[in-house]
Amino acid sequence: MLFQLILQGIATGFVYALVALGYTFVFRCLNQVIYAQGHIFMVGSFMGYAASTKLGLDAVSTLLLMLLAGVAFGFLLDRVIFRKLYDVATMTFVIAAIGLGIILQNAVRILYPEPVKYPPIFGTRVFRIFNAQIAEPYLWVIAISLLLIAALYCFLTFTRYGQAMRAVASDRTIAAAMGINVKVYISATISLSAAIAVIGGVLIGPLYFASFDMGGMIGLKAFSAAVLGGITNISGAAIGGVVLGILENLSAGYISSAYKDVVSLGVLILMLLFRPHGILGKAKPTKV
Amino acid sequence: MRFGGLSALSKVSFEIREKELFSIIGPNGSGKSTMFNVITGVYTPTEGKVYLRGKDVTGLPPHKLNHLGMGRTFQNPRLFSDMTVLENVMVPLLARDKHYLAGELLSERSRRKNMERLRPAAVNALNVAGLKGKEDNPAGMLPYGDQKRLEIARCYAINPDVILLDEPAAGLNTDERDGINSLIRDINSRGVTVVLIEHDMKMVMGISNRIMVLNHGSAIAFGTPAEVSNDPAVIEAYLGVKEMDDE
Amino acid sequence: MKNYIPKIVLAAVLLGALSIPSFTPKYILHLVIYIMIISIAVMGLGILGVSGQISNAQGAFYGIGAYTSALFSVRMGVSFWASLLIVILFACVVGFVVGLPTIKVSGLYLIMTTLGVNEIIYLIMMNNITLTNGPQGVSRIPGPSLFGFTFKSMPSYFYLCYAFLLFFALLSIRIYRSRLGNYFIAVKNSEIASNMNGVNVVKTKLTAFMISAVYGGVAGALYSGYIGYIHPDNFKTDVSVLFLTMSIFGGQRSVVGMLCATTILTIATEYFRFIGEYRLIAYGLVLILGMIYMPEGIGGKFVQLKNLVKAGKQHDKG
Repeated sequence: MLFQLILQGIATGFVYALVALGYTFVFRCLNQVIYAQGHIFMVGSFMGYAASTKLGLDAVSTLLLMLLAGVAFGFLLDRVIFRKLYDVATMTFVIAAIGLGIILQNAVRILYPEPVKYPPIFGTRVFRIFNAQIAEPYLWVIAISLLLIAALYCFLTFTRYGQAMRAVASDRTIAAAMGINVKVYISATISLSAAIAVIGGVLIGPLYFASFDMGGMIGLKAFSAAVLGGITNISGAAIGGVVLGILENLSAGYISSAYKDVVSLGVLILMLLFRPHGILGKAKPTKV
Repeated sequence: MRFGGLSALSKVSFEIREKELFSIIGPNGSGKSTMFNVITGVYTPTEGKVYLRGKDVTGLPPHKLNHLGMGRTFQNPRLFSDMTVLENVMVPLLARDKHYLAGELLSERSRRKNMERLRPAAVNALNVAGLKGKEDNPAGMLPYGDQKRLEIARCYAINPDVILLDEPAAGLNTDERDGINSLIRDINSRGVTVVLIEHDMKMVMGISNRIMVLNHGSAIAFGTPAEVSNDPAVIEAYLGVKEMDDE
Repeated sequence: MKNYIPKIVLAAVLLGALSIPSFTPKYILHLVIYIMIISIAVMGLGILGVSGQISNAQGAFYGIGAYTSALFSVRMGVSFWASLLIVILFACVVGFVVGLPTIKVSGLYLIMTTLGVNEIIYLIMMNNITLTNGPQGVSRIPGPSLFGFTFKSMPSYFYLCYAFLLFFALLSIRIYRSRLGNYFIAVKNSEIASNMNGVNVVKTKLTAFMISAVYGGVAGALYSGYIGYIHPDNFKTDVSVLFLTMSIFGGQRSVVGMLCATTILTIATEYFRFIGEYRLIAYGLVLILGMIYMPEGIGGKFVQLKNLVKAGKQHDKG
């Protein structure tokens, strides 16, 4: 029972991690958080649903298609909205992102007013590991997430483009001075962040279901995860997500599932109050 | 004063005499700003104590220290940019004024009376700082030199016992530096104890009564400008001294 | 004589507004009352905003006010006015409890923390059946009454809310002009400088938070007394977001600006009701466009206008 809860927690945790990674990427670049990240995730979930039901695609094709769709979607959002907001004050950016979230949520609501159940693209087999029953989708989620995170890591560390992205994230002015086209990379970061969120949405579909109002909660939980791990730290986001997923699942199993959302909220509030730079982040004292 | 595992200041102990002009100098990273932050209550020292007029004020929050007569400026001016110049200077006066809020809320006349009562001190401080006539200018639009003056005026308005100036001449051209120089002397001559952090050696040597030199968090020299500038430890740690004399 | 013109206009508007119930249809009167009620909550956020803080929990305070007032009158027969005092007290306490830890954080972190607080309070409202009746909500809430006269009819509730709105608007203006208002702006501009210049930043921020909570709570009490039935879904984070966007759109420092923003945004969503679900999309679009083209809000536009007029006058003189 414990192991099952933990494993399932790891799976949902990875989903949080993917969304949290998106937060972290954009934060490092722009010093802003895209409040609508959870809603982008939700849109991704429905896109995946449409792809697998209308087009009857299997798991792998859906994921690949959604990767492309996610990048395209992110690019669209950047072009139309975010590009004009790179340098605005924090609050302005946040309100605009809130507006985006409202639009996405209600646009999807018109198309899908009721929660939808994903077709079993990740299979229906149940495996017995030690003495826990793990349904196949959970294993898929863990595998795909790990793959994605590894791919991201390689991209950022070993390719020129990834390194340029990191340069932009660490200091825009110097990156520009080095000849990097900063705007393009910010745009790319936003697209990438959206794409990851979209994949996250596709992954959670088979685990639970998709509904138009799940964006808010997921966004908040992923934000908790990012803060837990350290919003300036990329591996922190991933670790934060997994830890949060496990914590949440354990409290749902052992305490009460009605209040399980309180866990992530509580974690968020406690972290922000006592260790805002997260477990892995570095404290930045204000220079007086 | 320790931060995590790093000791920013170790065993620095000194006394500042009333009405003197005391400067703290040292290479970058020697702990000068940390010292200021400890004195002004921004940091609570991990060891040691701060006394103001014999009273132990260690760990008191900055606003309480301000009420006790301590003022401070910052390296990068931190003005209240949404307010006018005059309003900026009124803030510390209001903050220590004992009248109740309720009266102001209920009666416009009572509010105006309070403002009129405190205004002269503010205007006077602005005049001393050379900002006469600029009372209604938005603080955010001031040229840099005036911003530094406003910070000093803001400290001076409350008739402080001691003010700590953190690099008041930083970023100013020669004329502006001379101006700040005379302003500091003027304030000091009016009986305010001044503690100064500065990199401008000429200014420091010219106006200080005594100087303390910090390096790597410890005091390596202490004394009058003459004593300090001839101290070999200082010359070694702070190679710039010789160059400055050549200027 | 010239100086009196704006005051005369203002008096005319205020007196004229009193006649609204006599010529507006019920549907619009209902909307006006609703706007007046939520304006109080929005103004509370304005006070918070002037001190540099942001709260995504105003909906929760709105809900706390509504529930407190409702439960006390339904379960214990306490009069609306007595329960209003309890609401104010309770809002102060909760505002203090929520505010105390959150003053350490700022910007987006504060938004997320307060969002979390709102979610937690919502969950308590939904799940703590013994306390709040949970998903059944509280119904048959008696309205306020004064000397035997019950404010049940719409016009009478209009006048009640009008009085409250006027009171809180005036209070906001007074606060902004007082030394507390100065402290707010100082803290917003630079906490470090404020501290160093004698302003107790912690106390100032907490005061702002508690005042804002009281505004929210009172608005909630008015709401529950008006509608007569409340449910936790009335106080979700969506409501907080709504209030927040209205206050920012209004330009927080300007009471008139916030009133305008609340009115415009509410009318917009109502007007677009005929297009059904699309109206919220329109709302989101308004937000995005507003932030791109008018980040200081309506109040900011007023200030720009005022400055233009001032510059024009000086030009005429000189």
